[in-house]
Amino acid sequence: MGDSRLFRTEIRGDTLVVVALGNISSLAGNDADEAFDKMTLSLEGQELKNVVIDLGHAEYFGTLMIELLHRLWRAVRDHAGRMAICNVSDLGREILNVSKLDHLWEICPSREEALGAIDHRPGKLPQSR
Amino acid sequence: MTAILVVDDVALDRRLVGEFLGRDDKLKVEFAEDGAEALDQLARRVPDLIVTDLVMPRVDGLELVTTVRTKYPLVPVVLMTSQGSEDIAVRALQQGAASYVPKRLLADDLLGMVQKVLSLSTKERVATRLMGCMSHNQCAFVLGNDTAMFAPLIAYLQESLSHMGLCDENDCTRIGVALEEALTNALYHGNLQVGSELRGVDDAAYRALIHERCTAAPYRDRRIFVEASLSSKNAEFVIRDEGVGFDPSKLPDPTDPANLEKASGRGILLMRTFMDEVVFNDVGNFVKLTKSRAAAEDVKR
Repeated sequence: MGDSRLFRTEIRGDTLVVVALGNISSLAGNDADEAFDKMTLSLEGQELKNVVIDLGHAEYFGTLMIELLHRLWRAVRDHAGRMAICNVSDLGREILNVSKLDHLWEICPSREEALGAIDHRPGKLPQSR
Repeated sequence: MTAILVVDDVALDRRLVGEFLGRDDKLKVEFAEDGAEALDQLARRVPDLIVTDLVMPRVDGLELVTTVRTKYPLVPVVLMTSQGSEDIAVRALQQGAASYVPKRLLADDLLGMVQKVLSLSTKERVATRLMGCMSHNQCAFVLGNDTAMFAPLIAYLQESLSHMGLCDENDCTRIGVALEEALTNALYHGNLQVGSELRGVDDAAYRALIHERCTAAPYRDRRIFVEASLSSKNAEFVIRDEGVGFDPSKLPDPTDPANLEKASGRGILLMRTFMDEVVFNDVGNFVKLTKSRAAAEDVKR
């Protein structure tokens, strides 16, 4: 669901894990859009409601990736789910920080912590600020 | 004399390869018994080319190729393949080995292959040294509405910046991100006049409009003009599109909490973050991005 040359997906319980397979530049265009079309479709079912984005293979990304993250976020939010991002590089972190998107999404150092962060634990709700 | 390092764990094979290569008296052949010994030798003296077996103890041919590509990228590696080593050979070629010769054809083909690879790599080494002598690069490009040329253009500009020592690898990457954003803005928002408003509201309609405009006059005939002036002290990029322009001051602040989920303005935010200066003309269809070495060094201090 959404696997392509740019992304791989895995399912962990009710969470869709999206793994970027390399840098996602703003030139990725249709390939990235189509992959995310499939991912958002899969979130419209009842089985999946949360998303973890693993950026461990992506040294950087551009505004296209940010827009795609927003698409997933809207789908997740529509189903009262949660979204977290993990394994972000220093440059990726800089991009998220300067865009203030670290206020919108939980950013975790590892995939396991991201999966833990979207559990329903008190004080861990990722709220839009 | 051109130094060749032959790596094979079988003494007889090493001797035979030495004889085949010895037919060219301009080649000086040295030997290593496996990849680990080869890497020890490389640390002391870098050869001009490596000929290696694949299946060896300690460090095998695949690991040798991978390490050489990382640490000694200008040293080509030629593989000697045998039946049963095809999978490793494919992976080694994917990792960057220059070529291969089956062991059963070494007598006829190895010397010719080594000479051919040496000739190509010598050209590459000389070109790299020449690029290191570049003091100034001024260039201009005219692009159509096709992102296919954006990545190679950015790679070319980054390579020039790197060779001239204006910035390190991290800053080169940042400049690349800024250029990507500027070029995609010039294409989608400039030439094709597709605004960000649809993005996030109706992505399918956004993509459909882009597709429609790519084939419709006047949008499809518009060009993107890129000029770069690069030196070891300063890089200046000018990107101009043929659209109607816009007023950057009217863009919403993408960092305002009310706008965090909107698509507008983020590309320019990244441009301003990664470049020292971003200036638009009055019309808004021309942007100049500047990065200077002095500013980069100040930030690091």
